[in-house]
Amino acid sequence: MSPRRDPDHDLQRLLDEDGGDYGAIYRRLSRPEPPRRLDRVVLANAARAVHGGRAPPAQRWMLGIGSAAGVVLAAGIAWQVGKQLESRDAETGGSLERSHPSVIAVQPISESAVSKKAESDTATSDQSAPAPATSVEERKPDRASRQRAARPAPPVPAPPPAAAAPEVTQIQPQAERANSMAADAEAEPFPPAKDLPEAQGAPGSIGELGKSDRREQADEAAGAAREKSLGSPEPMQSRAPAPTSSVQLRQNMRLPPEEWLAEIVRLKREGHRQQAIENLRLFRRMHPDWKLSNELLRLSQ
Amino acid sequence: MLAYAGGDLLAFEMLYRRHRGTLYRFLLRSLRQRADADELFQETWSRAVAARERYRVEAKFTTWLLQIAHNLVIDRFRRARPQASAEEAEIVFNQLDSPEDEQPDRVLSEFEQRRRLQIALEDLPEEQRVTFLLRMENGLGLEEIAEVTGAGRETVKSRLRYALARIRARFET
Repeated sequence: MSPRRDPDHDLQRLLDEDGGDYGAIYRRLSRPEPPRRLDRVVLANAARAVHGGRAPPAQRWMLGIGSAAGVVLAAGIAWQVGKQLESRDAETGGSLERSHPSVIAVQPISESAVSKKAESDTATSDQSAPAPATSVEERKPDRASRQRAARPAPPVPAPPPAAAAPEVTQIQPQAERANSMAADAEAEPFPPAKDLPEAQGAPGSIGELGKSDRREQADEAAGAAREKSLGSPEPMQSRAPAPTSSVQLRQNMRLPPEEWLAEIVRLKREGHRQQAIENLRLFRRMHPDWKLSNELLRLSQ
Repeated sequence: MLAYAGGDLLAFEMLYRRHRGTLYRFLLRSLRQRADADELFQETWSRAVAARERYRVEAKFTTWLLQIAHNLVIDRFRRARPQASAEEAEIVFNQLDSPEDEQPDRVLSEFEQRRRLQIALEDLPEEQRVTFLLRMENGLGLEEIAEVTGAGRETVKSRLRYALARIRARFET
């Protein structure tokens, strides 16, 4: 190697692509590499920065938008449901029913229960009044007397709310649901007879009875259960008979109007006045323009 | 770097493999201490990772990375560390491996040349040394060196010229 004296020449050589003479020497110097330890540390830091760090701004933005959309959706659903309830109330004249939900189902049941209680006060034979689990055959002899007790028409004041509350919660939604389903001309499948509450007696015995007997039996069971519920705070027992009346109502509701009216008349004439009144009230709600006979008008009043 | 900023770790690994050697040698020969070089090597990459979202494609990645490294080196120089003595430079030189498969007489000759260059580099003032290394190790031109160091083009040219004179003097003794 022969060093040159001209610094500009040396510089030009240095700035050449190969770096000149000193570049050649420099390239022959050892080429130390960073230790593996440093490689691992640097790559781990880089990976942590990408994967372990905060979410990218776009994702955070989407999270906020998603939350806001969820809130708006929930508010919209709540508004729709509220509107539906209002319209349903308007259809059924609902404020009365909402404030006194026993109008349809509870009041009549209480009447029979009170009548039955009065009967039990007067007749000692009712000490063996059918428990919810007693069979229909055992209760048959009492049916006539119970019908007599149910006949007295004077309206009975509604029972205290505390006693009626468990029944109301069960019955009122079903009546409302029945109305809405009637409007849609689509009814829910009825619970099978074997699903009826135990208060009605053995499931098999119901199937053997005739149609009217079945209603009477259900009525008896409802009365018995309500009587029991008046004396017992057990909510499960007090709730048990409620579906019976409701189921019958819903069954009748599916009939054509003429047949339903005939069924109401039949109920009335057979002495099931209270059931007839319940049916008639529901009928008038579903068919407000239907002209009723004088007999039914009197019944409704 | 843009790919890595978007979450592509593989892109970073490729970038790292490409630049790790030159960056490390620049730091080692600028600082002359392996421990310092290790520390600043890691720090340089940490800063690059942290600043990935600020990286703009207008800047060449090599230039951007060397700017970070150069700033760290200058900070280290400013700590008023005493200049290394010739003996210390010899120790550093001995730490660097030399090729083993060369003829003894030629090895001696090349050994001497490398030794002289190494000592000359050690003796250079810091700014001249860094400028010389940016040219020789990283292959930067005058404009790129000026961009990395923040000095003017003519200043870079002057530093290189002085550096060459000192190196040449070392070879002539």
